[in-house]
Amino acid sequence: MKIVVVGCTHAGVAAAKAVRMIIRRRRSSCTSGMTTCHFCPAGSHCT
Amino acid sequence: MYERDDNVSFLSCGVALYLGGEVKNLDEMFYENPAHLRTEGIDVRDKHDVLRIDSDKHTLTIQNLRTTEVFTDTYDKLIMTTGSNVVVPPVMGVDDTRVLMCKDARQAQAIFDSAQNHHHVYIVGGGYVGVELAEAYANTDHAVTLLQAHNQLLNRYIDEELSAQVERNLQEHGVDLQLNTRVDSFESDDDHDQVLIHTNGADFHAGLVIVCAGFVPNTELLRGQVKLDARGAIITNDWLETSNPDILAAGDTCAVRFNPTGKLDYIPLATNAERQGRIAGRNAFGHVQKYPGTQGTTALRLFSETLATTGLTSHAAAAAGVHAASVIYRDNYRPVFMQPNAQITIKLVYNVDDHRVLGAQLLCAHDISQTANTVSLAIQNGNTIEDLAYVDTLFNPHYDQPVNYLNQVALLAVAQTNA
Ligand SMILES: Cc1cc2nc3c(=O)[nH]c(=O)nc-3n(C[C@H](O)[C@H](O)[C@H](O)COP(=O)(O)OP(=O)(O)OC[C@H]3O[C@@H](n4cnc5c(N)ncnc54)[C@H](O)[C@@H]3O)c2cc1C
Repeated sequence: MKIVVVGCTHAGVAAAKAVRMIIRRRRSSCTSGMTTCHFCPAGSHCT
Repeated sequence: MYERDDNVSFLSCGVALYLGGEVKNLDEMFYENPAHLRTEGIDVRDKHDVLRIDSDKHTLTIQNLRTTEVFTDTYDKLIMTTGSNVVVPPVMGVDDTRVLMCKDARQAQAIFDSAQNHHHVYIVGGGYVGVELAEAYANTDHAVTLLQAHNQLLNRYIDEELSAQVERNLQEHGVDLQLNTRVDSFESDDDHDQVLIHTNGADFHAGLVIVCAGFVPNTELLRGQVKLDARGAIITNDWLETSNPDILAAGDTCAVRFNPTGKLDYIPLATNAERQGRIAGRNAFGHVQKYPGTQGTTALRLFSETLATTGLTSHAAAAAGVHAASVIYRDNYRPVFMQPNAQITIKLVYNVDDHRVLGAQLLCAHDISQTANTVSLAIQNGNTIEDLAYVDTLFNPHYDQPVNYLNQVALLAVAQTNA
């Protein structure tokens, strides 16, 4: 999934960091064996 | 992440500190930078202006302001955080180069530079930005004239009882306060390198005018594509999704739910932007977290005093048709044997029908800002004046009286409802 943020002051910085945090958490518990999420069959539905 | 400026995370909230000389370097007003965000895995494209969004096709048209190249990008989820612009009053002559606005880093620097050469600073607008700038320039030995159209300062935040104290404080520090003074137009006087401010009363000759007339949401990119309110602010649901669920929005670009009334309102504050941004980022992955709404809690320092507010004023309650009453508590904030001491003034606004706490305004030379946060939580949680009257608060002679001032003001409200 591709997430784009437009505008980078308080709301934009906070949003982008929150997105990265969720991605980091998901990657750290990922068991799919895929090296990039882009091709992962779980798509945006991984936990 | 696209940003049209060459910087990210500018804290407008600190502009007055820079202009007043308390912070020496404007660079200290940035708490993030593109290079650091990139190390966190965020693809930051600064100096990139988003020109168009096509929500049907999920595309953006962007101009790279360094190369002038225009290109298209796609998204699955878009988070709109384009913030607000300053209100430029629709009066003749507002484009005079001596009339400056105050929001971003460039504007702050322009004001700073101009004030080096002009002893007398004219400020138009008596909201919190105008008042903060008046305080800053009164502290730097500038002559300050503050023009306010309304009959009181800070009318969106406090009622007359407290604004009278604020006005007295500013005047005692030499600020020339012109209430009920509406600017009708500006007229250039290039021979004297001045601008003439025409008002409904007197005219003023100024070398530097700073207009602080509020903010409007910057939402042109989505006009006609998502629901906006009458001001043009994006309407979101509790998940911060717009009427198009693939577009979320956060910060000054949005209307927010104002908990004391339960209605949508436009309350452009960094606090809302920060909280909403974090929640919108999480909700881009689904319905993770609801936005709890806002009380519009805010504070400002006025010389040695702290003014802190949250929720509804009596005026705003009346305008919203809320059946509200209020009480005012004034006393020393701690026992008289503790010196130095200071008087605290608290106005508490509550709902007459269900006794829910609706708002508070606090003013004291002691730092009572965190008490506004306590009341904010009470409002968000739907607490009553009885809850606040008997909530467990600390007592220590350094900090308060045996019955804390927050309990005291709520006890007054309870007594008033029982009378
Ligand atoms: C002098 C002053 C003092 C303040 N003090 C306080 C305070 O004490 N407490 C408080 O809570 N709030 C305060 N505020 C309000 C606070 O600054 C704003 O609420 C806050 O900046 C909102 O953040 P935001 O991220 O939503 O939007 P903004 O700060 O408006 O940022 C939006 C960003 O989007 C970018 N952008 C816009 N359009 C595009 C586009 N088409 N393409 C690419 N990028 C784009 C802009 O360049 C900007 O960087 C103050 C404001 C001012 C001016």
